Amino acid sequence: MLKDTILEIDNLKINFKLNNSVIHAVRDISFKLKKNEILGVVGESGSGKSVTCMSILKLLLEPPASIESGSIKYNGLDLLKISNKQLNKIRGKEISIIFQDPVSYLNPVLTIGYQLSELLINHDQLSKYDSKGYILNILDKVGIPDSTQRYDQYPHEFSGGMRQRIMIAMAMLCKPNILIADEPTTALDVTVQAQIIKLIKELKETNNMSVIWVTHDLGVVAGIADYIIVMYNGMIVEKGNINDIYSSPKHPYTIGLINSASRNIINNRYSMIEGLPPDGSEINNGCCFYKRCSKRLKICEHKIPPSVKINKDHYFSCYLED
Amino acid sequence: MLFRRLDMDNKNIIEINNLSVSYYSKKIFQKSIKVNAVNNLSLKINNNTIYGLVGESGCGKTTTAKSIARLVNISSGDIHYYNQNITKLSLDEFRKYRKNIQIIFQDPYSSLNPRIKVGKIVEEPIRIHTKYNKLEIKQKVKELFELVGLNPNHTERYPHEFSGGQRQRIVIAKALSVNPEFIICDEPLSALDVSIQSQIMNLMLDLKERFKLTYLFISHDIGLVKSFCNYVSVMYLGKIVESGSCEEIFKNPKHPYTKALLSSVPIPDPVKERKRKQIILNNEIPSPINMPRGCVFHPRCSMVTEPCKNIIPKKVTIKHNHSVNCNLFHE
Repeated sequence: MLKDTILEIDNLKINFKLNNSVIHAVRDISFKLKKNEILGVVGESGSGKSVTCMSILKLLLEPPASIESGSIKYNGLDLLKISNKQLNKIRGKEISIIFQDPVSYLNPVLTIGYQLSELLINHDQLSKYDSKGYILNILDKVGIPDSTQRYDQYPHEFSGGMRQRIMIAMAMLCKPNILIADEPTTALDVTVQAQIIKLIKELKETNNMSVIWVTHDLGVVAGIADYIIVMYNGMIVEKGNINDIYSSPKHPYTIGLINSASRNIINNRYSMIEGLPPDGSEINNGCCFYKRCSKRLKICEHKIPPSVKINKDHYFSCYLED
Repeated sequence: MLFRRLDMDNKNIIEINNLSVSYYSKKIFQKSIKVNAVNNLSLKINNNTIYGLVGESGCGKTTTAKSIARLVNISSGDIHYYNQNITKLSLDEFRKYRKNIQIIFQDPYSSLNPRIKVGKIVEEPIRIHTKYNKLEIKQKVKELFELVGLNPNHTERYPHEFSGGQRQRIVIAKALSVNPEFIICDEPLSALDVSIQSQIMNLMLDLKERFKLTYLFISHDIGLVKSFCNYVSVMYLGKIVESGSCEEIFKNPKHPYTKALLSSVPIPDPVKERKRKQIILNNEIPSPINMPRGCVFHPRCSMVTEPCKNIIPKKVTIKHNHSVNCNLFHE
């Protein structure tokens, strides 16, 4: 493992076993997260972004989910091999996660003060009294006004943006090394989204942490990420430095996605990707994108394309080499 | 980026004058609370245009749309469909206009009845509004399926057998089934993936050309509105703060809220995105239960002056096809 790598995922495969079918949610993906880097994970719904994130902290319910193979190494420690007790020491302390929808992840019958202090009491063995001062400080930092009064309020008394700030405060309490942000701004309005992005960027700078930012919005990652992974149907189709991906995308899916997102109009038509999104249940031995690809070849249907190296960091999986 | 041209010499298909809509939240043992969802709003929608209505959640976009289709009770004001005041009609009399005004909702997962076959869903309006016989209706449904890009042999399937994009196509087929002139699209794309959004947008553009449709396009996605609409109105807390041709609004925004809103839209290009100058607004939208006095935007406005706290701004015409409601501007 390289010195500046903090998280390394290798050949991860995750399946969901349902009554009479198997969904291949993640099919053999590998990537690295460097120290102090923002890694953008981009893809449409059903591409396996969230499942990958949840698997890092083993938050998937098993069964139906099952991690078939692979390793997730955090500072050299394989998170898939250690016991739940050991993992609990990492969850929320060294690796934190923020979810898309803060409404459903905050407990509606407990005050936010209680929910925040739980973390400090468990991880840092602080008393309730000691933790309060610390929490008030962090609530101020994430931009929640009148924190002393807000401490004793319930989640429903906060707006959507404020709830997301509470989730961020909760994730930041133990100063994690890695923050996983799973579509943190998707449920928010653009003006509030701008506030939250600014906040997470500032927190990243002051705490020297690495961030995995999952999103379907190519505009958001363009502004924050250093490195990008493009996922489709449970596979990584392309990965590379932010500027490489946007200025010279190689995989037909990445090209289509960037064109769709920038709303390019040619002859009064929006450029688009034909066909339907995959549902993960169909078994295919070939390229995950071949059904919708406009440039598909015969071989694409039967054989998984190899990873082609463009430069040190830029890889894509396709038979079409330029 | 090219903007869609705006021809303003057509007739107005919809004209709204001083519309106000309030909801009452009833509480036991307490006084009921009045929420002003739409406040003294006026707008004119030109025939054969795409009229965009943008704003953040809770600003009253959907309520405005619903009041045009008479799905909510309005408190005051009137709405004209061509020259007919449709707010004064009884529901029976309104039925023949309902055929001309159709609506597409945001979430195709909840706007289709899961227990009814999609063919039946699409044929229902035809059965109610026209005098076709059974065979003709079946034929018409198949034509509609083909028109929106679905397999005409799938009419016997149930909604859950379709993906989000396909469901939205079914909703569009249903809206088109009675040859409407005006379609209200209430965030029709926000539940869909980007690659599917482009497909539906192309479909909507084709249908507009073919059937001479007028769209009221409601969205919170400003990037989308920029490329899709001819005319845009920006709403904030139940009021229109600025409206004008798409080109005017995006090239030359005047209202401080419009400026902030436009500046916070991310651009899918790392070079441009990192250079983008952002106006980050303080706080969040105040609750419509106790609206701020004077200009509703003044608590968040960076250019607030003393009069803003008391005087409600009037509509000021800056240019042909561009008007703004702000105290900083005068005729």
